[in-house]
Amino acid sequence: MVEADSLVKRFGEVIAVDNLSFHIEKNEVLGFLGPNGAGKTTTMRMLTGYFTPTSGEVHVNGVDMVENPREAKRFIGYLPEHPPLYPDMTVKEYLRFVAELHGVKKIRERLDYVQKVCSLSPVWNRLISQISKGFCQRVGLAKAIVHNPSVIVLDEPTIGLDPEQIIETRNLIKSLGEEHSVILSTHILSEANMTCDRVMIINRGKLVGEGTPERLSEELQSKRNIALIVGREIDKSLFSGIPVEIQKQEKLDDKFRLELSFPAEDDLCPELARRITEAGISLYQMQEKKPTLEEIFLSLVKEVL
Amino acid sequence: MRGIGAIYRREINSYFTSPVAYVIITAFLFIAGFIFYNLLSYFALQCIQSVRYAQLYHTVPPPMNINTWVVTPFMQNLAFTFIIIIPLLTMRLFAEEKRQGTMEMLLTAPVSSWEIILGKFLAATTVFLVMLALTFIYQVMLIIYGKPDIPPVLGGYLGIFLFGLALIALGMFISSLTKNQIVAAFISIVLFLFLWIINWSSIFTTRTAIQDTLSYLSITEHLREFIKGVVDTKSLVFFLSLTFLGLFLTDKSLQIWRWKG
Ligand SMILES: Nc1ncnc2c1ncn2[C@@H]1O[C@H](COP(=O)(O)OP(=O)(O)OP(=O)(O)O)[C@@H](O)[C@H]1O
Ligand SMILES: [Mg+2]
Repeated sequence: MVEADSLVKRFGEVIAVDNLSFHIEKNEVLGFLGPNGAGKTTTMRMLTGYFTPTSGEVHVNGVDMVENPREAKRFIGYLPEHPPLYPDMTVKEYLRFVAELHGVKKIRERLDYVQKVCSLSPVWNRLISQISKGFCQRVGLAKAIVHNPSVIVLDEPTIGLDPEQIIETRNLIKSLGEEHSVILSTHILSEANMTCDRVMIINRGKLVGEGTPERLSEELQSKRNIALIVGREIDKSLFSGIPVEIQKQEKLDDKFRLELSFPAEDDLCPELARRITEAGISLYQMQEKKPTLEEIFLSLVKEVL
Repeated sequence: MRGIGAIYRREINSYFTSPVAYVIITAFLFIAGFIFYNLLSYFALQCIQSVRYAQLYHTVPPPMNINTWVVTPFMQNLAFTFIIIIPLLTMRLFAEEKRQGTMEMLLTAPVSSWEIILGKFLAATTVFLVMLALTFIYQVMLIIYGKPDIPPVLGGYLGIFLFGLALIALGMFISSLTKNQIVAAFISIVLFLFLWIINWSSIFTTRTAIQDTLSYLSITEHLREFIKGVVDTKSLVFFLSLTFLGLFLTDKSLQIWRWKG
């Protein structure tokens, strides 16, 4: 659906995006993750044809964004970082204008659709200058999908929404991802975890990690963490000869909770279980502790710094 | 084409849903009416005085020409008024889009920058035409109650129309350079005043090449031809090229915006 090939964007001395290549499949939700100033917005602006890349190419459905922008932009629905709204229009007028700009045929139907899925009924005929920030964000989302684009680009779509709306919006994004390709950017890692099929971690304009949220946690973690619940206290000597470290040990009523870590290369789980049971200690639970996306993110970003 | 229509309608709505357009049009009509009233009164006074004078000295009163006394100065003053009024129409065209962040939606919509530019240009031109048409009522009154020479009236209106197109295109270009409407209006007014008086300094030089260039660049000179009732191709081409230059520069300015953000 979208192919980005060695995208670079410079602003004078600043290199905002540095040789970024990626692609998005049909019906995929791709998340851009990165700290402030990472270049997420700049990348999206190049994808949507707002910024001309300093070098590199963007193809949408095989159409080159720089060569044939008018055609390529038809496939894209874009919600910028700041929803681009006209304060002197009503919500309905605004969305109608967007639909006209995109040459939508059945405007009535599409307006009804976005009014419903973005819950805009309460403000439908209000002036945009008079509606709250959260509603502005929802109007922006409606703007991005009103022409039923095949690629939806959302720059921090849940910012400024209340918790209920955040959940609704994430669900909406997920359901949009069933029929469209979606690219979204966010700082909220759990959001990427929940909504995205694939995540790209960007820092200082460069790609520092990529994969499904699960795979990222596995691949990028050099150590595995295991949590155990056992019958009595365990001494370090039990693990002599194998590279296991005891991170934490605490008493839980009559049992003990233990956190162990070992290098990811060799799977020591069966060996651990054997040693514990052979020492006559009862093993109640053994669980892999997956690092959260937060932890991976921080470790990746730190590596680069 | 689709884009031109959508953008044109939005601009027209935005002119007329806010009080701004009405305030500008009212102010303009007041000033144009004031100019017209004073010119006409002065003309009437002159007529009466010349008749008195003739009676006193038992001569035939000299012929009084309404074109020289009313039509020509009215046209010139009207054009001058537009130097102030047109920047008020064009100042928001792009500056406001940049300030509001709506530029990002226009430039990512599947329309070319020419569609955006022409949509906006035509909308401002429409408001300008409404103003110009309303002042035509004064000319109709003159034609009913006096006997002005018609070609200068029509030529003058054609000239002011072309002059307006050029100012709108240039004003729009200036609006595309800044996020601040007031700055855009101010720079436009300064530029237009300069084009209005550019040939004044030609009296300080005897080099005909310089004099010719200055008078070619002077909008006043070209307008004068039209107000005489002469449709000179040179002047026609001048105003149309200036208009095209404004549109072209606006397009370049949008391209630069895509580079620099
Ligand atoms: N128009 C511009 N002119 C100059 N520098 C810019 C411009 N736009 C962005 N930058 C710079 O490019 C870098 C990337 O900015 P960008 O807005 O893409 O980051 P981001 O990942 O979206 O950050 P955030 O999470 O804060 O939204 C920053 O260093 C920023 O200062
Ligand atoms: Mg951003």
